[in-house]
Amino acid sequence: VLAGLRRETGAAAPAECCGALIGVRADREIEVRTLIPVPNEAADHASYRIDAEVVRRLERQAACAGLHVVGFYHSHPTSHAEPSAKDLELALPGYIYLIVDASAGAVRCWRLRDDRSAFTELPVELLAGAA
Amino acid sequence: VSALVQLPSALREYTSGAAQIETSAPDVGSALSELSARHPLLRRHLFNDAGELRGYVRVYLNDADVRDLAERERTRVNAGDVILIVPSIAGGEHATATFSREEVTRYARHITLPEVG
Repeated sequence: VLAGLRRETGAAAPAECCGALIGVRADREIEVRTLIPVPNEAADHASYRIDAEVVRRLERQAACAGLHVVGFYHSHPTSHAEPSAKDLELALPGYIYLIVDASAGAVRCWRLRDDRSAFTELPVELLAGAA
Repeated sequence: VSALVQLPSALREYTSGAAQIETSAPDVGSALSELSARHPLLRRHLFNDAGELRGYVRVYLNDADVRDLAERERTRVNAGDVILIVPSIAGGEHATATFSREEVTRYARHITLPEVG
């Protein structure tokens, strides 16, 4: 999964790539089962945007499979895998956000705090065969 | 008989896991306000500090984007209607407050404190 994500990130550069994380939530853990690439609708290379219509369709597809949209991923072509001010402004705390550093290939996972003040980094554990 | 407000999975933790909430509010805007009043922690994610719906929040009334309706948030809600809240997702490194890797490499050479050497 991560190898595919890095390939997608490289192919999209210098633009950002993006997509949905589909999986299950269980207590304090979120298991991502699959990644669904989504066309980036942003007008510039340093942003990503997934329209609500697409999110709505993704939510329905996931629900049909007994899963949830648990978050989204996007790449940062020229900066680290850390959330930007723009990421902070537009995030929702119920989703996790996977950010890929397109240059170094680092992948880090973040969740917005309930008070919207900042992101908290979440540890990422790779299940057998997931890398 | 009331209408239903359906929530995306990302906001359900603020409604104790409920995917939909019944409402008897007369219009869409009132239904959203009522929802926020009943679930106060949800409010800051739907509305900004000015009390306006956040830009990423899209609201549908029976599959119609409320922005496309003549009366928008003032559109009347009837029994059996479904109000659906869906976020659009956006962000990216644009307008980032941090330095890019190239900038860090470039400026690291210039940030040298005399006391350190």
